[in-house]
Amino acid sequence: MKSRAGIVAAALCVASLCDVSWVRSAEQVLVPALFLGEDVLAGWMPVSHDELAPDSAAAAEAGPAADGDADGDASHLAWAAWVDAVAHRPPLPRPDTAPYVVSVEGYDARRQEVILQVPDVELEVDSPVTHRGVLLGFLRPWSRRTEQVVVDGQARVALLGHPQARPVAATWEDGSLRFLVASREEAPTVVLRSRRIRPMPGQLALSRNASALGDTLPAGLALGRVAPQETDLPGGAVALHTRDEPALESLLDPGSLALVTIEAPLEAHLPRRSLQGRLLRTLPGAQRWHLNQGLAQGVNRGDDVIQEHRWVGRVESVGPLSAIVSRALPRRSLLVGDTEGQLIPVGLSAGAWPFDWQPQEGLPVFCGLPGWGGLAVGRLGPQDHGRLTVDLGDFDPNQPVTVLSR
Amino acid sequence: MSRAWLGPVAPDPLVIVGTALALSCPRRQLPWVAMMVGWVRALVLIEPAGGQVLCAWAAMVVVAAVRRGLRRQGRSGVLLGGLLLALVWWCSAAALSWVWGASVIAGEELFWGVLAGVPLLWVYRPSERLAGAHG
Repeated sequence: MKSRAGIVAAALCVASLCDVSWVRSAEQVLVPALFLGEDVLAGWMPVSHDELAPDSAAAAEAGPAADGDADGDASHLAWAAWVDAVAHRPPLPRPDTAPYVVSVEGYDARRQEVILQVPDVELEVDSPVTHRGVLLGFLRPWSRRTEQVVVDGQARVALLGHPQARPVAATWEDGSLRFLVASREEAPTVVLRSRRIRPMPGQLALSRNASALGDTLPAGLALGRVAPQETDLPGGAVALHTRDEPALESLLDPGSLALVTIEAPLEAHLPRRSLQGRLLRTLPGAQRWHLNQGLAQGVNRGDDVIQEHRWVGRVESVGPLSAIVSRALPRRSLLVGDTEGQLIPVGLSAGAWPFDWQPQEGLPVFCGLPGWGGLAVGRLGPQDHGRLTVDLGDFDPNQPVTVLSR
Repeated sequence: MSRAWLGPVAPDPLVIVGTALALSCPRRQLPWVAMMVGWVRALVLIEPAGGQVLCAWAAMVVVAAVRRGLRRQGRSGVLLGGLLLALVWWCSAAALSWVWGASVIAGEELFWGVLAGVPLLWVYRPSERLAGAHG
């Protein structure tokens, strides 16, 4: 019995280290006692400004409205400009739909599918999904047993080239030739009428108007570039790719997308529930905080925590009556404002920076949540081996926070 | 609570608690006691409890194994027990980090906790009858 109990206890410890969700949730059963202890201690100890929020004193003198509004206006303007850029696309042929920007929740590389967070409305199978005028793929049925696209606020996108993605009527950028882009095992493939006409590597393919055939896909969407058919080998030799049909290389990296555009009914809106909570810090300088809301109040892992117009953190682990909020950088597109008032979407690593752009310390950083709006994140810090660092903005731990969830 | 707790450099009070329990707690209750000590420490540090529980378990088992010898030393034995607990806790955390890659916070605050507990250790004596009856 003793050894069995010991084995069970050791297994639970290992499960905790492996971040098993129900074990991590059970660990937080005692957290309400910490909040109770905090309330008792707060009654004994004098109230002072938190050393982690040095601006809170100045903000308190200036009035909370001034500082919050400045950040809120800038972040909302930044976010609106970003949404307009993401949704940039040719006009939709259907008058009862509109471009709708949604978040990417994940990318299944094995199945070549992207998972989206979408409004709970009827979406059509084979509806196009785009990003900045580039066709990413088409909405597909959630499973083989149903034609339903949206399940629990999520939808799956079959990338261009996926076996379940529909073919696309296309043309070259100069309009010189019409052809079909069909799905093959390795990549979307150009199907030409004549094999004697070979496209040039790097040639851009666009969708064309096929409304006469009943196709409602907008014309002018970028599909990809012709992949090179020769590869240089060491020693000066050249390897020829013996493909009968040239393949297209995608212009987008599906694993790095944060937002895409779908066609949704005009009345669609993304429901986002919010609830108020309080953060408890147990260690100065820690990047994790306890939240006094948990599963019982509807908090989920991955929910965002904000305060006024500032992004504070993300729920990392949820217990019955509490949660742990991590102040790691938000995993979505960051928007950096430059000195000329321009807005640049950037990634953390140097490979994800726009050409000829260099970070400057102190530039403001924003992000946004569809269905909620723009949020201030902080300011650029010094580079760390070719990666951006962001000094997260301060927030007042004595004030309530808002937890956003679907 | 964060104002009362001065941070990683400040003494860790759980070291004193763990030492006292390891010296006086019956052996059969030691695993459960270690689990509570490690669990509470993990809650304060806001990290997975599994690492702290394993470290507390290893440290308290080692101290309990040599408590007869420590008791013969009197008050200095209690202090030695505290240092031994802190050392084993620190080594266990390092081993977990090296083998598993887990991040388990266990630094100099453990040893500061032992030194800060010296005045308390001067008046504390493990219950000889209780500890003697259970090894």
